[in-house]
Amino acid sequence: MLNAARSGTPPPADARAAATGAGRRWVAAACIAALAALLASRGAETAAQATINGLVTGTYFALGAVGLSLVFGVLRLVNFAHGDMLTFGAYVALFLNAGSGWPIVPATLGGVLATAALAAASELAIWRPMRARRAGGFQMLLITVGLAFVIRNCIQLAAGADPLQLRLDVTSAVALPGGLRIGTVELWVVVAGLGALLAVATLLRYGRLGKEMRALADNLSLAEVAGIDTRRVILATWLFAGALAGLAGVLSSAAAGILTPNFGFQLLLSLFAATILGGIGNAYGALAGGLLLGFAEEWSALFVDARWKLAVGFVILILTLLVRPNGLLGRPALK
Amino acid sequence: MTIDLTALAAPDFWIGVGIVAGIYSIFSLGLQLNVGLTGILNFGQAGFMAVGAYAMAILILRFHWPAPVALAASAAIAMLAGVVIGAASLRLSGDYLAMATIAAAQLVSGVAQNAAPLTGGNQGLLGYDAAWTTLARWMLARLSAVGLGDQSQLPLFIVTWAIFGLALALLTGLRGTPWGRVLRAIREDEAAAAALGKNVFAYKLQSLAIAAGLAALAGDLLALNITLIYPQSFSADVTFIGFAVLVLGGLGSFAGVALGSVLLWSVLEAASFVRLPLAADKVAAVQMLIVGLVLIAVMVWRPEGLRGKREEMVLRG
Amino acid sequence: MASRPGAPGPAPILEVRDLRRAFGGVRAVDRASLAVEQGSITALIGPNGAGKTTLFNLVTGFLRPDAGDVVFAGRPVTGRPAHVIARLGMMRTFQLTKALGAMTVLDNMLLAAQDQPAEHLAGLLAGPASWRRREAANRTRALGILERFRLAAQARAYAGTLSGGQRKLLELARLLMAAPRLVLLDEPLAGVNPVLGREILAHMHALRRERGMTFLFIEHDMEAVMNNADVVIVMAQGRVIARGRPRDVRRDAAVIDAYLGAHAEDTA
Repeated sequence: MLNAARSGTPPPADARAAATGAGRRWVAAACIAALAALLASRGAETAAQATINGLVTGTYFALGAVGLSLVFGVLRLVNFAHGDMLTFGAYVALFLNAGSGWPIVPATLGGVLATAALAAASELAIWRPMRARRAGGFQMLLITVGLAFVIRNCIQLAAGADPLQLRLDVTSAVALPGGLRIGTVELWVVVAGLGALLAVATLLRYGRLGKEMRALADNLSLAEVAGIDTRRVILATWLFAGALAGLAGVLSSAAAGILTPNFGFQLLLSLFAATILGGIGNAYGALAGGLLLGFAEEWSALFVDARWKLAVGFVILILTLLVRPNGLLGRPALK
Repeated sequence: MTIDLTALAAPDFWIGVGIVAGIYSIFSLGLQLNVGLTGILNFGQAGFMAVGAYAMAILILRFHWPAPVALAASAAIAMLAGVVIGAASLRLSGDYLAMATIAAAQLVSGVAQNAAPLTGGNQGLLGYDAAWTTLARWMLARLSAVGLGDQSQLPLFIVTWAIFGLALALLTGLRGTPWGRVLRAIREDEAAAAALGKNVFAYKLQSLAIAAGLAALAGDLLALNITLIYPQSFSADVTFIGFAVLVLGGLGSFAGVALGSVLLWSVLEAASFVRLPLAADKVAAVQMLIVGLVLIAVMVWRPEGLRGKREEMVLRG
Repeated sequence: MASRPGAPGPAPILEVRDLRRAFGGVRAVDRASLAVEQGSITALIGPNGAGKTTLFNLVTGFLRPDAGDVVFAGRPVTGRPAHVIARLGMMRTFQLTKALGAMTVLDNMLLAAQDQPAEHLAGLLAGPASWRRREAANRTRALGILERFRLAAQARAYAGTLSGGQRKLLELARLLMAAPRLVLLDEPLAGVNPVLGREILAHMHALRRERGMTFLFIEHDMEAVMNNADVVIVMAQGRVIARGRPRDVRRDAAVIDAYLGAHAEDTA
């Protein structure tokens, strides 16, 4: 669908992407001004606590959004099943941890690997054959929706709709300087999540796979001509996206302390928002977008009822699409 | 595992299926207009449905409007919502529009959850159907003259399919007009349509507003059918069930929508009568699993659906 | 005379002044100025990447210019939406034909008619009788035009079933149906066999003669340009570098430079 916008006549929407440097500076200035106002009005400690909470949320948003963005970048596919891949990873980890009594770290790894395997299986069973048939974007999009339903409801069929919990000590907390606190689980979420994000960022930047992914994202047929084994790179992209989704699922359910089959789909729109915010298809952008969105949601709770937290994500998604469809960090398309 | 076939033989079972199928037919007619005829990916149809149902219930319960006026107003309000959401999002193309519209629908759902004084929050609203109950009783009295007086669901069935028939006639008529021709041109190639002097944005806006109006009517009927509305009645699942109906019937075919809806809901409701040793949440999971499998299967093996024309199929991509 | 960029003719139907548009850091159109005389057949040439198609997109409202003015028939149309500009009587074709393949040939033609009020919901309220009358009249006119373009036999076929050449002809026929005053053709001869190419050029001359239509066309086939254009405008690197009669432009040093330079880059 987006390919249509890239070839042939540029759509009128392209015109709005014209503002470059000036627009970016303006947005940055507005953000800083808003932040300053926030600090001034709510006191430093409250704001700092919200920022810590935002870091926790932002970490798993970023993990989820990077995988979503990688798949979009390489395959031009908006994967509506991505949220349910998070759910899948979380349930596998929960099954191993609470069900089979595994410690949390191996259980998490199990969830990550299982989700990577699920994503790879979807590539082999569905996406590769559909690409070979030259299926249209509409077909592909609705298949992701169908897949989302299948994953979510298989989980519900196996585990029921009742909320479940990982076996974690959610009551203990670590005191930080300045009277601030962060839950032990949340601290681990941030450490593990940021660690994984750093590893991924390094790999994408310096690894051969990262270069090949960028080549594919740039121009698939050209990458093919240049001798890149596109099938292998695409499979690796799915493995990667799946693993990140699995980790995001485990960490977010650990931080939230609760897990239901709808859990991932409810996160999906926030992940979309983070992805778009960072410029869709741009993995680093998704990372930044995820963190930014996490902060935004937690900061918003200082001003409006926390029940509206999720709505902040939708509003940011819609506003970004309207004002800067290429994302805050994205460049306007060349053609 | 046993299958209780006696339930499948009961007329009130099929009348119940027919009502839901009819509601989803009306709902998906709007999607057909958007996706099949105009080429706009409206993933927020459930949001317009919610706007319609809540508008009707609130106008009746909180503002004491007469039911028929509230019904008409609910469609008008949803159309207005279509114009507002469309004005904000319809310059986006393809996947971006899908994301924007689904986000808009989630916003509607968020408002329904949080604006409790008006919407009842997660408790929902009920008691808006007094006027309808009176009308249904009057209809049943007439129906008993022909021996159908004990089918209490029949009035809603008749009204639902009558509204579908009217909407079908209206949309089929519109498609054959020069207006419909412009929509088909836009579906195929926006730039070509603009180059021939067509205001693509205005047509998309009209298409979305009409679809929103149809979603509202479907929402009103759904509200009468389930007698209690709460935010989860209009979750994103509803939109995607509508898409399953749409692609099953075939892109571009208005009549195919009814075919797809009756087929899908017969299977879904029959599935709930299979006596699996399952709890209610797992039965619901089986139903939604079927929806997912239908979406995948149709898109993989028969993307034109049961009644679509291959030559006229434009799967943008 | 050849090298005065954008020199205004006696009665310009289209005037472009200092038009600019950049994509990222690339200045695709960089202060381009030109004028197209009423009733002329004007060619727009230049090496690949000179900004010709971008200029078309800017002039016809498919892209918004960063700066500059576009004046059509004395009316400023800079930055107006594409459909508004088309309605004013300036219409364009695209490099890749945009015959609407999922519609019939006849529907393609009827779509181009600019006088059907029932294209709007409000217009439909007048009742079916009135728009059907208009539709019948348009159909008669469309079939006449299709006859002329030797497409009448295919009127009820899906346009997607036509050959590439027939689709090009359908686009021209559609334009005639819409009856604009100025037509911008983006490489009308690209991918067309010589026989059909001559036919397309003949149609162009005939439409100017009969209807007074003005043509501005982008073309790489120099023979076609030299033999058919009254005026040739040359673009290179986003600017108009020359304008004049074909035989003058051919000898212009700047033009030769631009082409040779581009040629040298191509082979490098």
